[in-house]
Amino acid sequence: MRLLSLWFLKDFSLFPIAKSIRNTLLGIVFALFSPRMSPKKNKNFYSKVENHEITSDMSVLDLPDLVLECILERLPTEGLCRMASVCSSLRERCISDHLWEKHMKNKWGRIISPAAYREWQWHIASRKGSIFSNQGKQRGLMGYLTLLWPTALIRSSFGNISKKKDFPPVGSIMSWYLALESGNFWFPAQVYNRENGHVGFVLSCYDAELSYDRRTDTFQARYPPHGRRASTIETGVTWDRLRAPPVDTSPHDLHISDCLNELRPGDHIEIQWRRNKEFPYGWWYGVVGHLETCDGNANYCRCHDSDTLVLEFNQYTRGSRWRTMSINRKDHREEGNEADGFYGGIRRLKSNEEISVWKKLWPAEVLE
Amino acid sequence: MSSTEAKKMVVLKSFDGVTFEVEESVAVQFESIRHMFEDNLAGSVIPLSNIKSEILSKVIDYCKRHADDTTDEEDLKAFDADFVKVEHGTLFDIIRAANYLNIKSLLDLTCQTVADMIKGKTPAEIRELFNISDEFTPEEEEEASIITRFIYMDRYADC
Repeated sequence: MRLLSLWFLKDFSLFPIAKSIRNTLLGIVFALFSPRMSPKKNKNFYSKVENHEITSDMSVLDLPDLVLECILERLPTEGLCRMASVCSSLRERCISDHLWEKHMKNKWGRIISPAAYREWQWHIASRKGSIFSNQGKQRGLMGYLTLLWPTALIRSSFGNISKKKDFPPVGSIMSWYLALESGNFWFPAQVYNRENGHVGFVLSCYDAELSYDRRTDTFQARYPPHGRRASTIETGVTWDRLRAPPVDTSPHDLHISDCLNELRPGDHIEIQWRRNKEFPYGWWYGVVGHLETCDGNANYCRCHDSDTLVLEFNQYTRGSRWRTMSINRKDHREEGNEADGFYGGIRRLKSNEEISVWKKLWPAEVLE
Repeated sequence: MSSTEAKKMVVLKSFDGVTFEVEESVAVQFESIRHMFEDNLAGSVIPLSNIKSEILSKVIDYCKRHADDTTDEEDLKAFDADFVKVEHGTLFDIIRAANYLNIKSLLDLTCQTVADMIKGKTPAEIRELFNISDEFTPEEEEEASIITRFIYMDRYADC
Protein backbone atom coordinates (compact mmCIF):
# COMPACT_ATOMS: atom_id res chain seq x y z
CA MET A 1 0.00 0.00 0.00
CA ARG A 2 2.78 2.33 0.99
CA LEU A 3 4.76 1.47 -2.12
CA LEU A 4 1.73 2.00 -4.30
CA SER A 5 1.02 5.48 -3.06
CA LEU A 6 4.67 6.31 -3.44
CA TRP A 7 4.83 5.34 -7.10
CA PHE A 8 1.55 6.93 -7.73
CA LEU A 9 2.88 10.18 -6.47
CA LYS A 10 6.07 9.92 -8.45
CA ASP A 11 4.38 9.32 -11.78
CA PHE A 12 1.62 11.69 -11.15
CA SER A 13 4.00 14.49 -10.44
CA LEU A 14 4.55 14.87 -14.17
CA PHE A 15 1.22 16.58 -14.31
CA PRO A 16 1.16 20.22 -13.31
CA ILE A 17 -1.92 19.93 -11.13
CA ALA A 18 -0.47 17.06 -9.21
CA LYS A 19 2.71 19.02 -8.88
CA SER A 20 0.92 21.90 -7.29
CA ILE A 21 -0.79 19.50 -4.90
CA ARG A 22 2.58 18.11 -4.04
CA ASN A 23 3.98 21.55 -3.50
CA THR A 24 1.14 22.29 -1.15
CA LEU A 25 1.97 19.17 0.79
CA LEU A 26 5.58 20.22 0.88
CA GLY A 27 4.50 23.59 2.09
CA ILE A 28 2.72 21.92 4.97
CA VAL A 29 5.82 20.01 5.90
CA PHE A 30 7.90 23.12 5.86
CA ALA A 31 5.28 25.00 7.81
CA LEU A 32 5.47 22.22 10.36
CA PHE A 33 9.18 22.68 10.53
CA SER A 34 8.46 26.33 11.27
CA PRO A 35 9.63 29.13 9.01
CA ARG A 36 12.70 29.74 11.09
CA MET A 37 14.29 26.52 9.95
CA SER A 38 16.03 27.90 6.89
CA PRO A 39 19.71 28.35 7.53
CA LYS A 40 20.71 31.89 8.14
CA LYS A 41 22.84 33.40 5.45
CA ASN A 42 24.71 36.10 7.13
CA LYS A 43 26.55 38.30 4.69
CA ASN A 44 28.88 39.65 7.28
CA PHE A 45 29.89 36.17 8.20
CA TYR A 46 30.91 35.29 4.67
CA SER A 47 32.81 38.48 4.07
CA LYS A 48 34.66 37.86 7.31
CA VAL A 49 35.53 34.41 6.10
CA GLU A 50 36.84 35.78 2.84
CA ASN A 51 38.88 38.45 4.56
CA HIS A 52 41.16 36.40 6.65
CA GLU A 53 39.92 33.03 7.68
CA ILE A 54 40.50 31.45 4.30
CA THR A 55 44.07 32.65 4.25
CA SER A 56 45.08 29.63 6.27
CA ASP A 57 45.23 26.37 4.32
CA MET A 58 44.87 24.55 7.55
CA SER A 59 41.74 22.50 7.85
CA VAL A 60 40.25 21.24 11.06
CA LEU A 61 40.74 17.78 9.58
CA ASP A 62 44.52 18.24 9.64
CA LEU A 63 44.54 18.46 13.40
CA PRO A 64 45.89 15.43 15.24
CA ASP A 65 43.19 12.83 15.94
CA LEU A 66 43.21 13.32 19.67
CA VAL A 67 42.79 17.06 19.31
CA LEU A 68 39.86 16.65 16.97
CA GLU A 69 38.31 14.25 19.47
CA CYS A 70 38.89 16.82 22.16
CA ILE A 71 36.93 19.37 20.12
CA LEU A 72 34.07 17.00 19.28
CA GLU A 73 33.74 16.00 22.92
CA ARG A 74 32.94 19.60 23.72
CA LEU A 75 30.09 19.87 21.24
CA PRO A 76 26.46 19.66 22.26
CA THR A 77 24.35 17.09 20.40
CA GLU A 78 23.15 19.55 17.80
CA GLY A 79 26.77 20.52 17.11
CA LEU A 80 27.56 16.85 16.55
CA CYS A 81 24.59 16.54 14.17
CA ARG A 82 25.83 19.52 12.24
CA MET A 83 29.42 18.32 12.13
CA ALA A 84 28.11 14.97 10.91
CA SER A 85 26.68 16.84 7.94
CA VAL A 86 29.94 18.48 6.97
CA CYS A 87 31.86 15.69 5.28
CA SER A 88 32.15 11.93 5.39
CA SER A 89 35.21 11.75 7.59
CA LEU A 90 33.60 14.02 10.18
CA ARG A 91 30.38 12.06 9.87
CA GLU A 92 32.22 8.91 10.71
CA ARG A 93 33.63 10.48 13.83
CA CYS A 94 30.46 12.24 14.92
CA ILE A 95 28.29 9.15 14.93
CA SER A 96 30.63 7.30 17.24
CA ASP A 97 29.01 5.87 20.35
CA HIS A 98 31.55 7.20 22.79
CA LEU A 99 30.67 10.80 21.88
CA TRP A 100 26.94 10.15 22.31
CA GLU A 101 27.20 8.04 25.41
CA LYS A 102 27.95 11.06 27.54
CA HIS A 103 25.01 13.03 26.14
CA MET A 104 22.76 10.01 26.49
CA LYS A 105 23.72 9.65 30.11
CA ASN A 106 23.44 13.34 30.91
CA LYS A 107 20.06 13.90 29.39
CA TRP A 108 18.31 10.52 29.55
CA GLY A 109 20.28 8.47 32.05
CA ARG A 110 18.02 9.11 35.01
CA ILE A 111 14.74 8.09 33.39
CA ILE A 112 15.80 5.48 30.86
CA SER A 113 15.79 1.94 32.19
CA PRO A 114 17.19 -1.25 30.70
CA ALA A 115 13.56 -2.08 29.87
CA ALA A 116 13.24 1.07 27.76
CA TYR A 117 16.43 0.20 25.95
CA ARG A 118 15.20 -3.34 25.39
CA GLU A 119 12.04 -1.93 23.88
CA TRP A 120 14.11 0.20 21.53
CA GLN A 121 16.20 -2.81 20.53
CA TRP A 122 13.08 -4.81 19.92
CA HIS A 123 11.65 -1.92 17.97
CA ILE A 124 14.55 -1.60 15.57
CA ALA A 125 14.90 -5.34 15.21
CA SER A 126 11.26 -5.86 14.38
CA ARG A 127 11.28 -3.02 11.89
CA LYS A 128 14.29 -4.40 10.13
CA GLY A 129 12.89 -7.88 10.12
CA SER A 130 9.42 -7.30 8.83
CA ILE A 131 8.41 -3.91 7.59
CA PHE A 132 11.55 -3.19 5.67
CA SER A 133 12.60 -6.65 4.70
CA ASN A 134 11.18 -6.29 1.21
CA GLN A 135 12.66 -2.92 0.57
CA GLY A 136 15.78 -3.73 2.48
CA LYS A 137 17.17 -0.27 2.26
CA GLN A 138 15.20 2.22 4.21
CA ARG A 139 16.43 1.94 7.73
CA GLY A 140 17.86 4.25 10.33
CA LEU A 141 16.00 7.18 11.75
CA MET A 142 14.72 8.06 8.32
CA GLY A 143 13.13 4.68 8.01
CA TYR A 144 11.76 5.17 11.44
CA LEU A 145 10.25 8.52 10.55
CA THR A 146 8.62 7.05 7.49
CA LEU A 147 6.70 4.77 9.77
CA LEU A 148 5.25 7.66 11.61
CA TRP A 149 4.78 10.21 8.89
CA PRO A 150 2.68 9.99 5.75
CA THR A 151 4.91 8.36 3.17
CA ALA A 152 4.26 10.98 0.53
CA LEU A 153 5.46 13.78 2.75
CA ILE A 154 8.57 11.92 3.71
CA ARG A 155 9.24 11.07 0.12
CA SER A 156 8.96 14.61 -1.08
CA SER A 157 10.84 16.27 1.72
CA PHE A 158 13.54 13.72 2.32
CA GLY A 159 14.34 13.04 -1.29
CA ASN A 160 15.80 9.81 -2.49
CA ILE A 161 17.74 8.89 0.58
CA SER A 162 16.91 5.26 0.82
CA LYS A 163 19.96 4.13 -1.13
CA LYS A 164 22.41 5.71 1.24
CA LYS A 165 24.20 4.14 4.13
CA ASP A 166 22.29 4.29 7.37
CA PHE A 167 22.52 7.65 8.96
CA PRO A 168 22.53 7.58 11.84
CA PRO A 169 23.38 3.88 12.04
CA VAL A 170 20.45 1.86 13.33
CA GLY A 171 22.13 0.37 16.36
CA SER A 172 24.05 3.50 17.34
CA ILE A 173 23.55 5.49 20.51
CA MET A 174 23.09 8.53 18.26
CA SER A 175 19.97 7.07 16.68
CA TRP A 176 18.70 5.97 20.09
CA TYR A 177 19.27 9.49 21.41
CA LEU A 178 17.57 11.10 18.43
CA ALA A 179 14.60 8.74 18.63
CA LEU A 180 14.03 9.84 22.23
CA GLU A 181 14.73 13.49 21.51
CA SER A 182 12.36 13.60 18.54
CA GLY A 183 9.52 12.30 20.70
CA ASN A 184 8.65 9.67 18.12
CA PHE A 185 9.65 6.80 20.31
CA TRP A 186 7.42 6.07 23.30
CA PHE A 187 9.46 4.58 26.10
CA PRO A 188 8.38 2.96 29.35
CA ALA A 189 9.04 4.82 32.60
CA GLN A 190 7.17 5.69 35.78
CA VAL A 191 5.29 8.88 36.62
CA TYR A 192 4.83 10.25 40.13
CA ASN A 193 1.39 11.61 41.05
CA ARG A 194 -0.12 10.60 37.76
CA GLU A 195 -2.77 12.63 36.01
CA ASN A 196 -1.65 16.02 37.28
CA GLY A 197 -1.68 15.01 40.90
CA HIS A 198 -5.23 13.65 40.74
CA VAL A 199 -6.22 13.22 44.39
CA GLY A 200 -6.61 9.48 43.91
CA PHE A 201 -2.96 9.13 42.93
CA VAL A 202 -1.10 11.40 45.34
CA LEU A 203 2.21 9.87 46.48
CA SER A 204 2.12 7.06 44.00
CA CYS A 205 4.21 6.21 40.99
CA TYR A 206 2.71 4.43 37.99
CA ASP A 207 4.05 2.87 34.84
CA ALA A 208 3.36 4.71 31.61
CA GLU A 209 4.59 5.14 28.08
CA LEU A 210 6.33 8.48 27.63
CA SER A 211 7.06 10.66 24.64
CA TYR A 212 9.29 13.71 24.87
CA ASP A 213 8.18 17.08 23.58
CA ARG A 214 11.31 19.07 22.91
CA ARG A 215 9.44 22.34 22.38
CA THR A 216 8.19 22.44 25.93
CA ASP A 217 10.87 20.19 27.42
CA THR A 218 8.13 18.07 28.97
CA PHE A 219 6.56 14.68 28.26
CA GLN A 220 3.31 13.14 27.20
CA ALA A 221 2.34 10.19 29.33
CA ARG A 222 0.08 7.42 28.13
CA TYR A 223 -1.27 5.32 30.99
CA PRO A 224 -2.41 1.80 30.22
CA PRO A 225 -6.16 1.08 30.42
CA HIS A 226 -7.40 0.77 33.99
CA GLY A 227 -10.00 -1.95 33.89
CA ARG A 228 -12.86 -0.57 31.89
CA ARG A 229 -11.37 2.91 31.93
CA ALA A 230 -9.71 3.61 28.59
CA SER A 231 -6.07 4.62 28.51
CA THR A 232 -5.47 8.20 29.57
CA ILE A 233 -3.04 10.72 28.16
CA GLU A 234 -1.48 13.46 30.22
CA THR A 235 0.58 16.22 28.64
CA GLY A 236 3.14 18.56 30.14
CA VAL A 237 4.66 16.01 32.52
CA THR A 238 7.84 17.55 33.89
CA TRP A 239 11.19 15.80 34.28
CA ASP A 240 10.99 15.76 38.07
CA ARG A 241 7.85 13.62 37.94
CA LEU A 242 9.58 10.81 36.04
CA ARG A 243 11.81 7.97 37.05
CA ALA A 244 13.18 4.80 35.56
CA PRO A 245 11.42 1.82 37.15
CA PRO A 246 13.60 0.95 40.16
CA VAL A 247 12.86 -2.76 39.84
CA ASP A 248 12.38 -4.82 36.74
CA THR A 249 8.88 -6.01 37.72
CA SER A 250 6.00 -5.57 35.31
CA PRO A 251 3.09 -3.55 36.73
CA HIS A 252 0.98 -6.67 36.32
CA ASP A 253 3.29 -8.89 38.36
CA LEU A 254 3.68 -9.15 42.08
CA HIS A 255 7.08 -7.88 43.20
CA ILE A 256 8.84 -10.39 45.41
CA SER A 257 9.63 -8.54 48.63
CA ASP A 258 13.12 -9.30 49.86
CA CYS A 259 13.25 -6.84 52.72
CA LEU A 260 10.40 -7.93 54.99
CA ASN A 261 12.57 -9.33 57.76
CA GLU A 262 14.87 -6.35 57.95
CA LEU A 263 12.19 -3.62 58.10
CA ARG A 264 12.09 -1.55 61.29
CA PRO A 265 9.89 1.32 62.42
CA GLY A 266 10.88 4.52 60.64
CA ASP A 267 12.07 2.80 57.45
CA HIS A 268 10.80 4.27 54.21
CA ILE A 269 9.14 1.90 51.80
CA GLU A 270 7.20 1.67 48.59
CA ILE A 271 4.44 -0.89 48.24
CA GLN A 272 2.60 -2.12 45.20
CA TRP A 273 -1.11 -1.43 45.33
CA ARG A 274 -3.92 -1.96 42.89
CA ARG A 275 -7.62 -1.24 43.02
CA ASN A 276 -8.54 -4.69 41.78
CA LYS A 277 -6.89 -7.64 40.21
CA GLU A 278 -7.42 -6.49 36.65
CA PHE A 279 -5.60 -3.20 37.22
CA PRO A 280 -1.87 -2.67 36.99
CA TYR A 281 0.01 -2.05 40.24
CA GLY A 282 1.35 1.36 41.15
CA TRP A 283 4.04 2.02 43.75
CA TRP A 284 2.88 3.89 46.88
CA TYR A 285 5.04 5.62 49.43
CA GLY A 286 4.81 4.81 53.12
CA VAL A 287 6.82 4.29 56.31
CA VAL A 288 7.10 1.41 58.71
CA GLY A 289 5.17 2.19 61.95
CA HIS A 290 4.94 0.74 65.43
CA LEU A 291 2.52 -1.92 66.59
CA GLU A 292 -0.50 -0.68 68.51
CA THR A 293 0.95 -2.21 71.69
CA CYS A 294 4.19 -0.23 71.37
CA ASP A 295 4.53 3.39 72.42
CA GLY A 296 7.47 3.97 70.13
CA ASN A 297 10.04 4.27 72.92
CA ALA A 298 13.23 3.06 71.31
CA ASN A 299 14.44 1.35 74.50
CA TYR A 300 11.47 -0.97 74.72
CA CYS A 301 10.36 -1.24 71.11
CA ARG A 302 10.37 -4.82 69.83
CA CYS A 303 8.28 -4.16 66.76
CA HIS A 304 11.00 -5.52 64.49
CA ASP A 305 10.72 -8.92 66.19
CA SER A 306 7.01 -9.18 65.56
CA ASP A 307 5.58 -11.10 62.62
CA THR A 308 3.18 -8.25 62.07
CA LEU A 309 4.48 -5.36 60.06
CA VAL A 310 2.64 -2.06 60.34
CA LEU A 311 2.78 0.28 57.35
CA GLU A 312 1.72 3.89 57.67
CA PHE A 313 0.63 6.23 54.95
CA ASN A 314 0.77 9.53 56.79
CA GLN A 315 -0.44 11.57 53.86
CA TYR A 316 -3.92 10.34 54.86
CA THR A 317 -5.79 11.69 57.82
CA ARG A 318 -5.96 9.64 61.04
CA GLY A 319 -8.83 7.19 60.82
CA SER A 320 -8.82 7.09 57.04
CA ARG A 321 -8.97 3.53 55.75
CA TRP A 322 -5.84 4.28 53.74
CA ARG A 323 -3.84 5.42 56.75
CA THR A 324 -2.44 2.11 58.02
CA MET A 325 -2.10 -1.44 56.84
CA SER A 326 -0.77 -4.49 58.64
CA ILE A 327 0.82 -7.40 56.88
CA ASN A 328 2.52 -10.58 57.95
CA ARG A 329 6.27 -10.55 57.51
CA LYS A 330 6.49 -14.31 57.15
CA ASP A 331 4.08 -15.04 54.35
CA HIS A 332 3.11 -11.75 52.78
CA ARG A 333 2.33 -11.91 49.10
CA GLU A 334 -0.75 -9.95 48.15
CA GLU A 335 -3.22 -8.81 50.74
CA GLY A 336 -6.51 -6.97 50.45
CA ASN A 337 -10.04 -7.07 49.16
CA GLU A 338 -12.24 -5.51 46.52
CA ALA A 339 -13.14 -2.57 48.79
CA ASP A 340 -9.69 -1.49 49.95
CA GLY A 341 -7.68 -2.70 47.01
CA PHE A 342 -4.75 -5.09 47.09
CA TYR A 343 -1.35 -4.50 48.68
CA GLY A 344 1.49 -6.30 46.92
CA GLY A 345 5.27 -6.41 47.09
CA ILE A 346 7.35 -4.03 49.18
CA ARG A 347 10.70 -2.45 48.49
CA ARG A 348 12.70 -0.67 51.11
CA LEU A 349 14.02 2.77 50.11
CA LYS A 350 17.68 2.88 50.94
CA SER A 351 18.82 6.06 49.25
CA ASN A 352 18.11 9.50 50.64
CA GLU A 353 17.66 10.65 47.09
CA GLU A 354 14.63 8.42 46.58
CA ILE A 355 13.14 9.42 49.92
CA SER A 356 13.60 13.11 49.23
CA VAL A 357 11.74 12.84 45.92
CA TRP A 358 8.70 11.54 47.80
CA LYS A 359 9.04 14.27 50.42
CA LYS A 360 9.02 16.92 47.73
CA LEU A 361 5.76 15.50 46.42
CA TRP A 362 4.14 15.60 49.84
CA PRO A 363 0.63 17.11 49.50
CA ALA A 364 -0.10 20.50 51.05
CA GLU A 365 -3.20 19.14 52.76
CA VAL A 366 -3.86 15.86 54.52
CA LEU A 367 -5.87 13.49 52.37
CA GLU A 368 -9.20 12.02 53.47
CA MET B 1 67.44 26.91 46.95
CA SER B 2 67.55 30.44 48.30
CA SER B 3 65.42 33.17 46.86
CA THR B 4 68.45 35.26 46.00
CA GLU B 5 69.76 32.61 43.68
CA ALA B 6 69.32 33.46 40.02
CA LYS B 7 66.20 31.92 38.51
CA LYS B 8 66.86 28.82 36.47
CA MET B 9 66.34 29.50 32.80
CA VAL B 10 65.47 27.20 29.93
CA VAL B 11 66.32 28.02 26.32
CA LEU B 12 63.87 27.00 23.60
CA LYS B 13 64.49 27.28 19.90
CA SER B 14 61.68 27.57 17.37
CA PHE B 15 61.80 25.89 14.00
CA ASP B 16 62.69 29.18 12.30
CA GLY B 17 65.72 29.50 14.56
CA VAL B 18 64.55 32.06 17.12
CA THR B 19 65.62 31.31 20.69
CA PHE B 20 63.53 32.11 23.75
CA GLU B 21 64.84 32.19 27.28
CA VAL B 22 62.12 31.09 29.64
CA GLU B 23 62.11 30.73 33.40
CA GLU B 24 61.93 27.13 34.43
CA SER B 25 58.86 27.87 36.54
CA VAL B 26 57.07 28.77 33.31
CA ALA B 27 58.53 26.00 31.20
CA VAL B 28 57.39 23.29 33.60
CA GLN B 29 53.95 23.67 32.00
CA PHE B 30 55.39 22.11 28.84
CA GLU B 31 54.71 18.59 30.03
CA SER B 32 56.17 16.79 27.07
CA ILE B 33 59.62 18.40 27.20
CA ARG B 34 59.77 18.81 30.94
CA HIS B 35 62.14 15.90 31.40
CA MET B 36 64.65 17.57 29.06
CA PHE B 37 65.37 20.47 31.33
CA GLU B 38 64.68 18.64 34.55
CA ASP B 39 67.30 16.06 33.65
CA ASN B 40 69.83 18.69 34.44
CA LEU B 41 70.50 19.75 30.92
CA ALA B 42 70.63 23.35 32.05
CA GLY B 43 72.13 25.67 29.53
CA SER B 44 71.52 23.49 26.54
CA VAL B 45 69.04 24.63 23.92
CA ILE B 46 65.85 22.63 23.45
CA PRO B 47 64.83 22.61 19.80
CA LEU B 48 61.12 22.74 19.02
CA SER B 49 61.34 21.90 15.38
CA ASN B 50 57.67 22.17 14.55
CA ILE B 51 56.67 25.39 16.26
CA LYS B 52 57.06 28.76 14.55
CA SER B 53 58.56 31.60 16.58
CA GLU B 54 55.34 33.60 16.27
CA ILE B 55 53.37 30.78 17.84
CA LEU B 56 55.98 29.85 20.42
CA SER B 57 56.08 33.40 21.65
CA LYS B 58 52.31 33.37 22.14
CA VAL B 59 52.42 30.05 23.94
CA ILE B 60 55.15 31.31 26.23
CA ASP B 61 53.08 34.42 26.94
CA TYR B 62 50.17 32.24 27.87
CA CYS B 63 52.26 30.08 30.19
CA LYS B 64 53.87 33.11 31.82
CA ARG B 65 50.46 34.48 32.63
CA HIS B 66 49.29 31.17 33.99
CA ALA B 67 52.44 30.65 36.05
CA ASP B 68 52.00 34.01 37.75
CA ASP B 69 50.31 33.39 41.10
CA THR B 70 49.56 37.06 41.59
CA THR B 71 47.10 37.29 38.68
CA ASP B 72 43.54 37.03 39.94
CA GLU B 73 41.05 34.72 38.33
CA GLU B 74 38.98 37.38 36.62
CA ASP B 75 42.03 38.88 34.94
CA LEU B 76 43.13 35.46 33.83
CA LYS B 77 39.72 34.82 32.28
CA ALA B 78 39.89 38.11 30.44
CA PHE B 79 43.39 37.28 29.28
CA ASP B 80 42.26 33.86 28.01
CA ALA B 81 39.29 35.36 26.17
CA ASP B 82 41.60 37.82 24.49
CA PHE B 83 44.26 35.25 23.81
CA VAL B 84 42.04 33.17 21.52
CA LYS B 85 40.87 36.14 19.47
CA VAL B 86 43.22 35.31 16.62
CA GLU B 87 42.91 34.19 13.05
CA HIS B 88 41.87 30.60 12.64
CA GLY B 89 45.20 29.57 11.14
CA THR B 90 46.97 30.94 14.20
CA LEU B 91 44.48 29.29 16.52
CA PHE B 92 45.07 25.91 14.89
CA ASP B 93 48.82 26.43 15.13
CA ILE B 94 48.45 27.18 18.83
CA ILE B 95 46.35 24.05 19.24
CA ARG B 96 49.03 21.96 17.57
CA ALA B 97 51.72 23.54 19.74
CA ALA B 98 49.66 22.99 22.90
CA ASN B 99 49.12 19.41 21.85
CA TYR B 100 52.80 18.89 21.06
CA LEU B 101 54.00 20.47 24.28
CA ASN B 102 51.12 18.84 26.18
CA ILE B 103 49.86 21.99 27.91
CA LYS B 104 46.50 20.78 29.10
CA SER B 105 44.88 24.07 30.09
CA LEU B 106 45.83 25.68 26.78
CA LEU B 107 44.55 22.69 24.84
CA ASP B 108 41.27 22.86 26.76
CA LEU B 109 40.95 26.57 26.12
CA THR B 110 41.62 26.37 22.41
CA CYS B 111 39.53 23.26 21.77
CA GLN B 112 36.64 24.90 23.58
CA THR B 113 37.11 27.95 21.37
CA VAL B 114 36.82 25.84 18.23
CA ALA B 115 33.80 24.00 19.64
CA ASP B 116 32.12 27.35 20.36
CA MET B 117 32.73 28.43 16.76
CA ILE B 118 30.96 25.34 15.48
CA LYS B 119 27.88 25.82 17.63
CA GLY B 120 24.99 27.22 15.69
CA LYS B 121 26.64 27.10 12.28
CA THR B 122 25.19 25.33 9.28
CA PRO B 123 27.25 22.55 7.70
CA ALA B 124 28.05 24.90 4.80
CA GLU B 125 29.28 27.55 7.17
CA ILE B 126 31.39 25.00 9.02
CA ARG B 127 32.97 23.88 5.75
CA GLU B 128 33.77 27.44 4.92
CA LEU B 129 35.12 28.13 8.37
CA PHE B 130 37.43 25.15 8.49
CA ASN B 131 38.40 24.93 4.89
CA ILE B 132 36.80 21.57 4.26
CA SER B 133 36.01 20.60 0.72
CA ASP B 134 32.52 19.36 0.09
CA GLU B 135 32.49 15.59 -0.12
CA PHE B 136 28.81 14.89 0.15
CA THR B 137 26.28 14.31 -2.55
CA PRO B 138 23.35 16.69 -2.22
CA GLU B 139 21.17 13.78 -1.07
CA GLU B 140 23.56 12.83 1.70
CA GLU B 141 23.73 16.39 2.81
CA GLU B 142 20.00 16.80 2.79
CA GLU B 143 19.57 13.60 4.73
CA ALA B 144 21.82 14.87 7.45
CA SER B 145 20.61 18.42 7.60
CA ILE B 146 16.99 17.34 7.73
CA ILE B 147 17.79 15.36 10.82
CA THR B 148 19.42 18.38 12.33
CA ARG B 149 16.47 20.56 11.51
CA PHE B 150 13.92 18.01 12.45
CA ILE B 151 15.42 17.48 15.83
CA TYR B 152 16.50 20.97 16.60
CA MET B 153 14.16 23.11 14.55
CA ASP B 154 13.12 25.24 17.47
CA ARG B 155 16.65 26.10 18.41
CA TYR B 156 18.05 26.33 14.92
CA ALA B 157 17.19 29.96 14.37
CA ASP B 158 18.47 31.11 17.71
CA CYS B 159 22.01 30.07 17.03
